[in-house]
Formats: sequence, structure tokens, C-alpha cells
Amino acid sequence: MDTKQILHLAKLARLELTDQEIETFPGQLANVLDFVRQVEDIDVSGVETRDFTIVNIMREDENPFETGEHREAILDAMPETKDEYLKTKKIL
Amino acid sequence: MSITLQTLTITEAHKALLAGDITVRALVDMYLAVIEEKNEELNVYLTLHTDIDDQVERAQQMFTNGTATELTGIPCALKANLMRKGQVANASSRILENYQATYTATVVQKLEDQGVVFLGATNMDEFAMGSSTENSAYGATKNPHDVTRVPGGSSGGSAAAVSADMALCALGTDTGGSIRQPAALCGNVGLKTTYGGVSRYGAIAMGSSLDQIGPFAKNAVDARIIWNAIRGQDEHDMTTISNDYWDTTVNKDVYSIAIPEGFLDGVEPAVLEVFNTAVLKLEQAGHSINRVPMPSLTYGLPVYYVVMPAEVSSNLARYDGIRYGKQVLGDTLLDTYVKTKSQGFGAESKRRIMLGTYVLSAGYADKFYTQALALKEKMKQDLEEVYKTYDFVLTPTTPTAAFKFGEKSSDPLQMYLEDIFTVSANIVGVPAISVPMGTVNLDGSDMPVGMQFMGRHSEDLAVLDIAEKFENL
Repeated sequence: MDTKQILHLAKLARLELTDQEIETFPGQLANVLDFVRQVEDIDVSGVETRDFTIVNIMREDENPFETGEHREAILDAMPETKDEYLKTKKIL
Repeated sequence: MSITLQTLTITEAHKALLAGDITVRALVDMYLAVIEEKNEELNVYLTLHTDIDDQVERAQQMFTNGTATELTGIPCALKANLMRKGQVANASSRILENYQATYTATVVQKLEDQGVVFLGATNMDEFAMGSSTENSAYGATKNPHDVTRVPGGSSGGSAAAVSADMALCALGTDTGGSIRQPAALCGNVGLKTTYGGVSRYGAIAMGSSLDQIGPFAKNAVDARIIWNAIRGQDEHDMTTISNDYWDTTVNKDVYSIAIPEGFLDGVEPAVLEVFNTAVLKLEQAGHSINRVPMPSLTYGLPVYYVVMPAEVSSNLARYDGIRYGKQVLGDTLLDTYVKTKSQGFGAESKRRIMLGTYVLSAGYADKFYTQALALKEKMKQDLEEVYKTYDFVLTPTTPTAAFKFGEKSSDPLQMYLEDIFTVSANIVGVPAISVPMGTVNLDGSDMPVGMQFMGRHSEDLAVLDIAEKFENL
């Protein structure tokens, strides 16, 4: 893993790295990936992954909260608001 | 009656409270005094809860009106990734530095209903990623047995709180060993519950197919009291399993126990010596112990370092600086995301987000993620075979005792190897407990080490039972 790849990955993850991170991350991530690769050739034919057959459990959407019950707490947590709206930079 | 915090258990504290030998106020004040004395040095609590007086009053009231339970008035520490409405829950991250929980976690609510007194939020590795608390944005917690050494992690603050008498019990979360490893290194009991056994509603998510909440306690009996109070199906967490599912008939006089053959090679000799002595004690007590080859346990850590970062990269994507938490304004919306994340996350969080992004990216997902899921299934199948004959898989909880600050923090892979014995329980979803097995002497300090019993799915009571039996030997 080289610097170029690390910077690409950081971009995909919406991260900016410090100079020190740019220097240390390639080696550190490569070590972890090498460690992980020790299991890439283990034969798993015949093993059915049940994870894809696990079912979603849903519940009825009943007894909704009173409108506005949590509004204040949620607004309080927002870094920037205007009136009762969340304020962000424009997207377009 | 005089109370000695060092040897106090929930059971004994309850007796004293019930008899009126001590008030909730007096008990809580004893712990607050220790916190006042030690917190500056040990850095166990990030913040104390602001409503301790109200909680104390409510708990005392329960004794007065006869509704008190074993847990009423018991001072408890809360890992900083568990939410209690109105209190700081920052997961030891800058990105949540001023965040106050907007709702209460199910586990916390259940304990509050019984009158547990929550003292404060304990330090941890940022977003529960680490084995030493060195990844906290608020400085590391120190091991109460030797302040030059780590308490373990990620729930290092919760483990240290119980060992330093800064709480009688604590809650933590365990994604790959984050309850059991610090419990072992600080010398208390830590339980990773069966996946789905305890609701995660109100826990700040890290690896959702792995995360579980569980107790830290002085002994197995106390851990069982807390487990009984927090478990159960929850309509707010669809991964919780039915209350009817629990096997409560698993207690035996003697158990059959398997030690994975060849898997303990990396354990430090001093730790192995303590382990072998403990194994001998179990054998002398009539438990049958066999060495059994379990090659698929060696897949545990590599599988974990694919599945966990994949889930981390997804779970941590929500911290964008828009709806809550820290915000660093940029010129555009995207710029705000990037600046907030880059200044809000520490190095380990960034590493794992990037690892997750990598293993899930086009062209690599099959090679890493799909293979990891298949190996997870293989581990499950192989362990199910083992559990046909044996009640538990027994290992040391960790390959080493508490290490020094800085010893492993520059080499992430070395740090990850701390979890070699603990991750498998998370991957296959079974319960596992760490119970103190003795100490090893490191530079003049007696440092605790633990042993881990990993049990069958839904048999949390059995792992608590064997831990209690071992404590009584």
C-alpha cells in the first residue's frame, strides 16, 4: 500500500490525513492487511453463509410519539439551527 | 458496621442497606470520596453525572417504601458510549465532545428502574477501538495496580473504576474483548453476553454484528445480578432474542472443558504458569479438562479485522458534523464533512474507517468480506461440534498481563493481538466470561491476569456458574 492509495482511500472515506498519518498509515494498514490475508486461501467451499438468509424483524409502527415531543432535545444537539430548522451549507 | 470498599460486593452492600446499617447517601459518598482522591491520577471518569443527589434520594425512597431490589442504591460506573438522557456520552471522541444523550439506553433504564445510582461516564478507547484506552481523546486511564501500565481496553475506565473502588460495578461494551480484556488486566470479572441477549438500544455502535453490553463486577455472583437485570428482548433492538430462549437449566456440579491445543503458544510464560495452576485446580475439583485441536479459532482475529472495520466504516459515517456533535465549518457541505471528521476522529478511528472502506471496495469485497463471512460460518460450525462434547472452551483471557503505556501503541497489529483469545466469542455470538486467575509479578507489581470460559449460545448462566465455582476453589 503506497501513499497514493492511502490518499485515495482517505478521499473515499471523506478524511483528510495529517502529514504524520500520511507517513505511518501505509505501513500500518499494509501490516494489518497482510495479517488478514493469511485466511484468504482457506477453503470454504461447502460452507453456506447463513448471514444472507437471516431475516429482518419488523414491528408495527404504532403509537407514534406526540409531534414535537423530542423536538427540543434534537434541536439542542444540532451545531447550527435557524428557527426550528437544521442549518447546513447549500448543496448545489 | 464498618464497610470496607475493597472487599464489598453487591450482595453485601444490599444486606447493609436493607438492614439500615448504611444509607444510600453514605455508601455513594464513600465512592465519591475515592473518586475525588484518585480520579486526577487514574483518569477513570470523564465526567460525573449531574443528578447523583436525585438518584440517591430515589434509591433511599425505595428502601423506605419496600420496593428496593438487590441493586437499589448500588453505585455503578457507565462506559462513555452508553447513553443516559442529559448526561455526557462522548465515546471518548472529540467528534462527540459536548454531546449529551437525548435518550436513555435500555440497559441503563432497566438498572435505573431498580434504583442503581450511576456515578459518571468512564474513559475508553475512542468509539471502543483499542485495548489500552490510549486511543481516548481525553488521555489514557491508568491501571490501579500500577499506574505505569494500561488498564486494558476499550472499557478500561469501567474496569479500573471497579478495581480502584470508584464504583461497586460498571457497564461496558465488548466488540472483540473490550469487557473481558480490561477485566482481566484490572483484576475483576467481566462478562460478554450472548449476542442478542442484552439490548444495545442506546449504545453508540461500533461493529453491530459483534457489539454486546455487559457487566464488570467484583465476582461472578454480582455479575449475575447485573446480567439478570439488563437482559431481555427489547422492541427497540430487533437483534434481541426472545426471553423464552434462555436455557436456565444448565448448571452442573462438574463440567467438561476443552482447551484449544496449540492455540496458547503465544502466551507469555508467566501467564501460562498461572493458567496451568488454575487448570490443575479445576481438575482437582472434578471438572474434566481435555486438550482439543480447534484450528478454526486461529481464523478469529483475521476475520475480526475484516468484519469489524467494515462495520466501523459504516457506523462511523453518521458523524458528519451536521445533526449533532462537533462541527468544523468548511466552505461547502462536503468540506464541512471532511473537516469535521478529520479533526474529530483520532488516528485509530481513521485507520479502521479506511480499512473498512478498503475491504468493502469494489474488487476487494469478495476477497475479504465474503471470505470472512464464510469463515465466520465455519467457525460457528466447528465450535458447535466442540460444544457437543464440551461445556466450555478455556483459555487465558489475554496473552500478557497489563503492558506499559506506549509499548504497543505505535504498532497497531501488536495491539490487535491482545484480543486473540477474546474475538472468537464475538464472531460466533456466544457468551464468555473473564475471571481473575492470579497475578504475575512485573517489575515489582503484582498484576492480575484472567482466564476465559467461552460457553454455548444462550448459556450465559453456565459461564457465570463455572466462574463462581472457580472463584470458590
